[in-house]
Amino acid sequence: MTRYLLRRLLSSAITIALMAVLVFFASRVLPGDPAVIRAGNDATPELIARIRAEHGLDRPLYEQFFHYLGGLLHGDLGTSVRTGNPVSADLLTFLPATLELSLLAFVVAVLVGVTVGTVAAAKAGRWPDAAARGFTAVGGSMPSFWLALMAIFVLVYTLGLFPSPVGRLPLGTSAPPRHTGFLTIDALLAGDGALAASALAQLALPALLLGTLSSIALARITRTAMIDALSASHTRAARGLNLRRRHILVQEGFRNALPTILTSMGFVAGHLIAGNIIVEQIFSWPGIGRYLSTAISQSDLDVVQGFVIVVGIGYVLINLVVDLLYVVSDPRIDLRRAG
Amino acid sequence: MRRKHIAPILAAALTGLVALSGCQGGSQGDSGGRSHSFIIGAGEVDGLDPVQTKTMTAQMVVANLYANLIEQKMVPVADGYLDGTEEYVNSIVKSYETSADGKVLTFTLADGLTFADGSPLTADDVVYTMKRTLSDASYVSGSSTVFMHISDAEKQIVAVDPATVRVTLDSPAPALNAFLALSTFGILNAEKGTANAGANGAATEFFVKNATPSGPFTLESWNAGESVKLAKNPKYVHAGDVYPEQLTILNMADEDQRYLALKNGDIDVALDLSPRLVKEASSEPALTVHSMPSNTLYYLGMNAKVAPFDNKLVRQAVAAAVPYELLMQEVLLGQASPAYGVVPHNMATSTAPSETATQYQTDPQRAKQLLAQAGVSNLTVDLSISSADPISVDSAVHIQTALAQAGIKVQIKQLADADFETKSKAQELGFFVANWASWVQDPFFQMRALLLTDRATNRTGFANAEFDKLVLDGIAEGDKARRDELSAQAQRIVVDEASFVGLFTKNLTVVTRSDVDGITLADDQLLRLKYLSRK
Amino acid sequence: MTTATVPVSARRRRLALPRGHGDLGLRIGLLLLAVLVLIGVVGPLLLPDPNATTAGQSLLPPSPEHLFGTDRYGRDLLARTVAAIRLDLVLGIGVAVAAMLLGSLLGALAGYLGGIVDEVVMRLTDALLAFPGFVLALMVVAFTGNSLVFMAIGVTIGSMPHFVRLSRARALSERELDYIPASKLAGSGRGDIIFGHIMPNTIGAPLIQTTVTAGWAILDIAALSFLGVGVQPPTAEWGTMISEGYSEILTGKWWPAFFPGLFMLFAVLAFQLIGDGLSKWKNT
Repeated sequence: MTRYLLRRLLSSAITIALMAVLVFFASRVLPGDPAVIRAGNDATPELIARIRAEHGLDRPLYEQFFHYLGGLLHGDLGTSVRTGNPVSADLLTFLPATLELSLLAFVVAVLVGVTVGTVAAAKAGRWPDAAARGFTAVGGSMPSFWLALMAIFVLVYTLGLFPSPVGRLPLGTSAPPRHTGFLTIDALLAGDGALAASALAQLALPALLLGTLSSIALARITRTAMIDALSASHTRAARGLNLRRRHILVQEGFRNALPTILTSMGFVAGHLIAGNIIVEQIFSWPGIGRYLSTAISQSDLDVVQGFVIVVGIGYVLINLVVDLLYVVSDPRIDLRRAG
Repeated sequence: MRRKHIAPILAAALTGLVALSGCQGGSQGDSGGRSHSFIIGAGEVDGLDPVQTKTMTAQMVVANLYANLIEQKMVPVADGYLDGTEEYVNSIVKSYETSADGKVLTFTLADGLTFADGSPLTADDVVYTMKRTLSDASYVSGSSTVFMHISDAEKQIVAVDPATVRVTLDSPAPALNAFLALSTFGILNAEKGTANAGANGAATEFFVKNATPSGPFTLESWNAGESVKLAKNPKYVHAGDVYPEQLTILNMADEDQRYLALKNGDIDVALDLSPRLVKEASSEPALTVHSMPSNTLYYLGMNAKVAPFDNKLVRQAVAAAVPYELLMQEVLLGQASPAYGVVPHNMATSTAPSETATQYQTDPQRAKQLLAQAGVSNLTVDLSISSADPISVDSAVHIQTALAQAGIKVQIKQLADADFETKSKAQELGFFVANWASWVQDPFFQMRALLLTDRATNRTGFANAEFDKLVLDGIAEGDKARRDELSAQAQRIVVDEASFVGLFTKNLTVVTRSDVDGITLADDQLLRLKYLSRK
Repeated sequence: MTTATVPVSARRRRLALPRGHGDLGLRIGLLLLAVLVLIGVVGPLLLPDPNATTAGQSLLPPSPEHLFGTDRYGRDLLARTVAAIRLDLVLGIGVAVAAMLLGSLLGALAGYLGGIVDEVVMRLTDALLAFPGFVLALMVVAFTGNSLVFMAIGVTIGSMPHFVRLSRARALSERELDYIPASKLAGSGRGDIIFGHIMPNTIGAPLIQTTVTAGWAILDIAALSFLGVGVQPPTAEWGTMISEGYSEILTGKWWPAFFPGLFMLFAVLAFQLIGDGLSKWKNT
C-alpha cells in the first residue's frame, strides 16, 4: 500500500512539474504585450521599456523560466500587471467566492446525480429509468451558457423566482465582516440571519445550474455502477434469501458501486472548479473564474500562469485522493497489477 | 410503492432554496430612502494614483477624490445636464495671475485649505503634485510636459510661500488651463508622499492603494473588484455646494445587469450602456436618458505601409464606400454625430463646415471608379477589430456589407483586446476600426496623439513630414489666429491622404432615475459627482 | 482456453437491461442526426442568405416572414441557424475523429511499449487533463492565431486525453492475451503488432467514444465562439449566435439566443444517444 502511495505521489509530482512547464511556455505566447497595455495612451518607448524591465519581461526566456520556477517553489506566483497585487494574494481574495459557489454546487451535483442514478438503477427498465436517462442525455448535451441564459430569462426575468444575477449580495447590501470569506457563514457569525439568507438566495440559481450540469456524468456512472453491482452474483444470491429489497439495494449494491461513484465525484469536483469561468461571467460572480477571464483578455501573464497552476494542482490532488479512496474501498483491486 | 429517503429530502431542500430566494426576489422600487445617497453602476476601480494608467471608473473616482488648482466651468443646458465650457474657474486657488508675456503664472491658494484628514494644504503640496505628474514616475508626463511648455519642472515650478505657487513656462501655452484641470493634477499630500516614497521615490505603491483626499469626497471603503464608497468631505474648500453625502460606485461588469438594476431602482445612475439599452431606457418613464455629444471619435485606419493601402486611390475608394449615415442609425441608433476628419466639429479650429457634414460622401459608384483607376480588382482585405468593443464589431459587420457593394471583399478579424492594442500601436494592422477620446479638447493634442509620426497612439502608421511640422508648430504657437491656420492646413492633409477616416463621434450616454439631476459632461468625460442632486 | 483463466478486469460486464431501451435511444439519435443533416444540406438552398444584413429590420420577433425572427443586424435567424448546421457538424465530427485517431495511436503505443514511453505519455496526458478544457484551446489559439482551423486543432488536443487513456487500457489488457506472443513467435515485428493487432482490437470502444466526443467538441467550440475565439463574423455558428443574442435577452428578445442553442442541443443529443445506443448494442 505504501509503495502504491509513493508511486502515485511521484507521478503526481511529475505531472505538476510538466504542467508548470507547459503553462509557462503557453502563457508567454498569449497575444498582447502587457508592458504596452500597462503604459497606457501617453506612453513613450522609454516608459514601455522601463515597465518591461520592472516586470522582468525583457530578460531572456530561460532566465524568466528559472525565475518563475524559483518563485513557484516559494509559493510566489508573480504579480498581476493589472491590480499590482501578488497573484497569490489576489487568488486568495477571490477564491472564497468561487469555493462557496462550487461547494454548494457540488452538494447539489452529488444529491441530484446519486439520487437520479440510484432511482434509475432501482427501476431499471421502467419509466423512472427512461426519464432519468432522458434527463442525463439532454442535460449532457446542453451548452452551459445557453442553459444559464434561458434559466435567467425564464426564472428571473419572467417568473421572478430567483433574485437578479448581480453578484454575491443584492445591490446596496454590505458584506459582513470577513472571517472565512464565505458570505453565508460570515453573516451567521455576525448574527445576521437575514443577510445569510440573502447571500444564499444569490447563490441559489448559479449553484443549482452548475450543480445540475455537473451531476450528469455522476448520474450515469452511478446508474451503471449500481446496475452492475445489483446484477453481481452475490447480490442475486442475497435476493434469493428474501431479505427486504431496500436493504439489498442500499447496503450491498451501493457499497459495491461506491468505488466507481467516488471516482466520478472526483471528476465532478474538478469539472466544477473549471466550469465556473462561464457561470461567474454570466452571474457577475467575483471569483477566480472571472479573474482569469479578465487576465486572459488583458494578457496578464502571471495571473494566467498562477491560475492554471493552482487549479491544475487542485485537479491532480483531487485525482490522487480519489484514486486512493478507490483503492482503499475496493478490496478486489490487486495493487501489484495497478498503475 | 417503494419510498426512498433521499428523494424527499432532496425535493424539500430544493424547494426550500427556491422559496427562500423568492422571498428575496423583490426590491425597493423607489429611491426614497436615500435622498442624499447615490448608487452608481459602473466598472472596476483598479488603482487610485492619478498618474498611473487605470480604468475609466478609477479615473472618475480619482477626479472626485482630489481637487485641482482650477476646474472646468459647468453651465446647465436645455437638455438637462451640465456642459463643460472652455472657461475655467477657481477651485482651490483664490486668485490666478498671468504675466504680460504669458510666461509666468502666479497661483494664490485659498485660505485655510486642508486635506480631508485635517492636515494643511499648502503650496508645497501643489509643487510636489505638479512635479510628480511631470516626472518619469508618471505615465502621463509625455503630453503634459509638451503642451504645458514646462521642460524643467524642478526649476520652473516653485513654492514662493506657503500660499503661493509660481510656474514659469518656456513660452505661452494655450492648453495649460485644460491640463491643470485634469484629474492627473489632483493635489496630493506631499508629506504622506515623501514619507512613503517607496522604491521609485514617487510613492507610486502608496498612492495606488491609498487616497489623501483634497476634493469633494473621501474614500470611505474600497472592496477590490466589487465597490467603492465615497463620503462627503467636510474639509473640501467648496463643501457647502456639495449635495451628495454618500456615493457607492458598484462594479457591474454586465451592462444588462446595470440596466436592470437601474430599472428596478436599485441604482440611481448607470454608465456605459449600449445604444440598444439606452434606446429602451428612453421609453421608460422612471428613467432619464442623457445622450451628450462627446469627443469619442471612431475611425477607420488604413496603414499606408501595408498593401493594398499603400495606394491612395484604394484608400479613397474605401472612404467613399463606407456607409456613414447607416452606421450612425443602425449601430448607434442615432446616439452619435458625424465625424469630420480628425478634428470633429465640436472641437476648436475644426474645418467642418457644419455640424452634420462628413468629410467623405458615401458613393459606391465612385468607389468602384477609384478602384478601377487604381487598377485593382477583386480586392480582399482583412478588417481588424477589438472583440472587446461591441460598437467596433457592429460597425465592422455593416462596413463589410457596404464595401462588398463596391467590389471589396472584407474578412473581419476579431482580436483579443490586448492583442489589438499591441498590434495596432505597433502599426502592424493594415485596416482596422479604433476609437479615441482626447483628455483635452485641443486640436493639436488630438492630431499629435493620433497621427504624429511614430507616436505611441498613432495606430494608422501615418507618417507625413509636412503634417508633423504643422502640428509641432501649432503646439508651440501661442497666437490664436496662427493656430487656426496651422490646424486647418494639417486637417486638409489628413482628409486628402484618406488614411484616417472618421466614422462618427459617439455620444456619452448616462442614464439615471428621473429624480436625479446634475449629470456633467466634462472634457475628459468623467462625471463630477459633486453636482449630483435630487429634484 | 476457458474464461476462467482470463483476469476479472478483462471480462466484459453484462448489463441486465431489456433490449428495447437501447434500441429506442439509438433510433431517436440516428433520426435526429439524419433530420439535422437533411436540413443542413437542403436548407441553405431554399432559405435567404444568412449573411445579408438589412437596415431597419433588426430584432424582429418570429413571424411568417422570419420564422425564427431576425438578429441585431437584420439577418434572418432561421437561415443562420440552418447555415450553422453544416459548420458545426463538420467541425464536431472532424475534431472527434482526429482526436480519436491521434489519441488512440498514442495510447496504443504507450500501452504496448510500456516502460518509459508509457510513463511520459501518461504524465503528459495527466498534465493536459489538468487544464480546464477550453482554457487549453484558448492557449493553442493564442499560439497559432485566431482562426477556425487553429481553434479546431486546440479542441482536438483537448479531446485527445480520453482516447489515449481508453486505448492504453485496452492495449494493456490486449497485451496480455495469448495471440500476441503467438504472433511474435510467428515473426511479426513491433510495427506489425501495433498496427495489425493492437489497434484494430483496441479501436472498438474508442469508435463509440468518438460519437460522444463529437457532441462534446460541438459544445467546446460553441463555448470558445461564445468568448469570441476562432469563428469570425459574419460566419454563422451556434456559439457566436448565442453570444450575440445574450444581451438581447434582458430586453425580452429571447429568439436570437434560443434557436441556435436548441439546435445545438439536438445535435449534441443526437451524438450522445447514438453513442450510448451503440455501446449498449455492442455489449448485449
